[in-house]
Amino acid sequence: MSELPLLRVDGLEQRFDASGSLFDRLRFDNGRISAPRRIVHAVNGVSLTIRRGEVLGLVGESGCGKSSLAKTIIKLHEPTAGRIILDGEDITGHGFQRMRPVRRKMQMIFQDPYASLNPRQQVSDIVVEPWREVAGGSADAAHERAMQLLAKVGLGAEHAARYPHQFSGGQRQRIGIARALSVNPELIIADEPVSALDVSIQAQILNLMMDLKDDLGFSYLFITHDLSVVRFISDRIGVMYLGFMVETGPRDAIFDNPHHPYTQALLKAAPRIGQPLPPAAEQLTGEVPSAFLLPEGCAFRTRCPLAHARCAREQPALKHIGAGQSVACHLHDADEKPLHDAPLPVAA
Amino acid sequence: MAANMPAAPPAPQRSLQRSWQRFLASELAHNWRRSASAIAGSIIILGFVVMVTAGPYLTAQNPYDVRQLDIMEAFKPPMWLEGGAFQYILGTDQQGRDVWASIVYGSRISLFIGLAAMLGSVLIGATLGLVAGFYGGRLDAVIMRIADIQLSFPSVLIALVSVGWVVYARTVRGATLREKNREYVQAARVSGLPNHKIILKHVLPNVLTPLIVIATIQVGTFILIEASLSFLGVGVPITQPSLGLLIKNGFDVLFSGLWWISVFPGLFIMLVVFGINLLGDFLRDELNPRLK
Amino acid sequence: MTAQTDAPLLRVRGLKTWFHTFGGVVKAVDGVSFDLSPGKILGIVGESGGGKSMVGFSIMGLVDRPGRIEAGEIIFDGRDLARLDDDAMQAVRGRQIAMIFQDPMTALNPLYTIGNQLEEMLTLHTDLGPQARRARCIEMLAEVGIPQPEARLGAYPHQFSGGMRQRVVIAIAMIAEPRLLIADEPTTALDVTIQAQLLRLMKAQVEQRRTALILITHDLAAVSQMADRIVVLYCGRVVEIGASAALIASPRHPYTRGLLDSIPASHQGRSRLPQIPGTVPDIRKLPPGCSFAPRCPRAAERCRAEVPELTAAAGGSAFACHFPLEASA
Repeated sequence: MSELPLLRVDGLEQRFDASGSLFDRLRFDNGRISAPRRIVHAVNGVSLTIRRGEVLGLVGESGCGKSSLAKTIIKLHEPTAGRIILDGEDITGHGFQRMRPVRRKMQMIFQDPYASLNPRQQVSDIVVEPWREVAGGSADAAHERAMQLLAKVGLGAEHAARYPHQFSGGQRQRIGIARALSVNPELIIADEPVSALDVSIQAQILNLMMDLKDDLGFSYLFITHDLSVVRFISDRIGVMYLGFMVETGPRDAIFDNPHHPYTQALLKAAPRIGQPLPPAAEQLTGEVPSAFLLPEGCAFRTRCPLAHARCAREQPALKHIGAGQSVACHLHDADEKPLHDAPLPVAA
Repeated sequence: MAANMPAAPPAPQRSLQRSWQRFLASELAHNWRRSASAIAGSIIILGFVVMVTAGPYLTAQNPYDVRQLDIMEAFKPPMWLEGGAFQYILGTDQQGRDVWASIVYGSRISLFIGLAAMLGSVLIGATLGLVAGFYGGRLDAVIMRIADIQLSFPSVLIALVSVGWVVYARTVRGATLREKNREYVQAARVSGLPNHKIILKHVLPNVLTPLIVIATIQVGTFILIEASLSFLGVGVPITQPSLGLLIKNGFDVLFSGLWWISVFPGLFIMLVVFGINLLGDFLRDELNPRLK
Repeated sequence: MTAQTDAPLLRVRGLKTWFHTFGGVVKAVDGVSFDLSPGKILGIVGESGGGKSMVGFSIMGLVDRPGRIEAGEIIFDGRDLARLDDDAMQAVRGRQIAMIFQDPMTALNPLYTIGNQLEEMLTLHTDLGPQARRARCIEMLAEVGIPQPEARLGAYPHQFSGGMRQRVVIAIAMIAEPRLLIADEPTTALDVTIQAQLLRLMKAQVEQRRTALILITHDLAAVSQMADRIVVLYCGRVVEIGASAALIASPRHPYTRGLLDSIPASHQGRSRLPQIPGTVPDIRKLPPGCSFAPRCPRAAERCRAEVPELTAAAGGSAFACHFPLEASA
């Protein structure tokens, strides 16, 4: 009976080699020459599903791997391990040619409205580029398509012949959205699409993105660091930390009843309008460890106020705890309660 | 200069006119009008180009045509000195060649070599730089090693090209590395564009600006290098002397008081290269969006 | 002169900072006035192009050509900074007024240790001996929460994370004990968990030393947590000024209202966000009358003809609007 999910990602890993060329790596220690590699563990065994018409919000701080995850799913980077299944088709190993038809189903909206548009390309050309690439078509047909797309995102025909620098940030992001829509995709991956925009423009773009989704019925994988945005836009939310998915669940469950200590800390740290600064005792201390050298065991244990011995030994797996909510934390493991009597964290 | 301008839409003539009008209204044109050095550089270059194109109409003599030379007219000083003649404004050399005519004809050779070497370098350098920067890895390493090890070369033009491309390759590679990680290139990949289309449509137009600037300045540098090579006797053939060879010819007799044969071509090279550099500096400042 | 405790340390009056560019005159700051007392925090908020950063640069005397201060007074401790020459201003910068920028990466010189950079401030602005300077640097690093401060003196900026770097920047700004600190988007580049730590640190620093702080940011939530008073800028002009709590609870200017409503946090569920239509106008071609009129739901004929003056209201607040929202009780 269960409906086939639009996107299913299983145990996805992404490691980047950041060591540079052989000459940069050469080291001479104790009479031995070696060339060690520096590997960034950007995404570490992440699994997720997105149903049709659903918005999955991915939230986390910089360096938590949410952008790398998105770019790996859309195959801008080749995954190191794991599987990506879009609409029932395993696209993990697809090369350039086999990805071409897949691009019709999956498109992307980028973060930076200034860097994501080619400054030397006319807007009418930008918005139909993906469509022309997969559908071909005459120049007239492309022009007509461009006009439709611009109208959909609230731009006019007078904008078609202009260049990106003649637009404001919000208008540029509309152009980026039109480009993603051009092939009628089923999934749009939006990588921090509003974080570079002013707050009044941000509201316009968020409204536009939700209106388009309601009209056209596609799904979003929506990546943001902004908790208020993720709360507004998501049906379900995934919280990432250092390349791991630490908690997933329905939006209201995550906000009203967060289970992972990191989710709880993140929610408390977010500035709330008209509220005093949170007391220091509730703040996370320390900083995110380097993705070059992940901590043994749980990645969050170096900052976790509730960490115990098992956290240093063993990496917690993401486990279902009911009502669609899953959490990767030993404290919520039914098999073992904490060794000392640290209180089970409950939402305030 | 046109690189800062958007690519021309279809209807060629009207759009050319429109582009020109848009250029006149642009900030570049505005700043050009306010920059004394840019105007001076442009005037010098314009004069040089006019002189080179109108060449034969500006001189009484074709210095490359041996039949027009008269050995009896050799060693005439410039016209304003005693013994000078009106028809030889800047005097004559050992073979009775008019120094002014030699400069005009020599300039054609020098400018041709300068431009041809620049174009050859741009073509080779930009292609290799784009490929190296975009694909990276082993290809990049090989190309950049070739850039490091320069081989020796037979003729002067090939010599200049083989020296010149390295600058473009390095510059374009650097710019490509920067551009290829920009989101619009990623967007093109998500759109399903094959790599050659991404390179030509998205990367190349955005790495052109530094290319234009270096190319401008390099024409001047090439004219100078060619002159130096000619002076050392490894340049263009002696029957068609470039500006550098003219200096060398005169240099042999410089200390016997026949200074004009050498000095005028020398001053002329200085003036031209100066003009090119003035304009090049202006373009470098203007076309660099990161300075704004 | 007798020092009055509540007399403003900084009094800005009718500040105009204009840029004469190819495309016309850019009135980045066009008539901004406010007071700031020692130990108080003033938040300056607005969207990009609102001119908020330029207010900070003007006070610091860091406006470069083609911009300049056209009119207005910046009375700091009885002296008008707008009239000071470069040398006199140099003596004020760093010693009396310090500034923190958004990007902690570019604010520190990568070629010097943070010890060098801290000590330089003391060498420039105090007459402490080498021993005392070193001790003071260690003390300062400890105060901003750098672990093992003595060992970290010899470290270079790239050896610190973004949040730690911004702590070092705060240490450098505070070490000469300035009387006014200007922080321009100090936490925008940082993560929320780090941001909360740093805001707390800055608040503690200014409370402890009675330093006045100008916090320039686009983040209304952060500013509402920090500031005593808030100035809202739009297109270079003050549209509303008032005590934080009152301004957040009951804004009088439609723009302030719109900004507050645009923040998704204040809405439960997934109804549409109330949005301000249109975009910030090109500051070189501002409409006649109120700059906000083209986007304002309350705009009438008068708004498009006549620039609204800043009108004083209860509690030391003021707004520039012909048809202000009702003040709630």
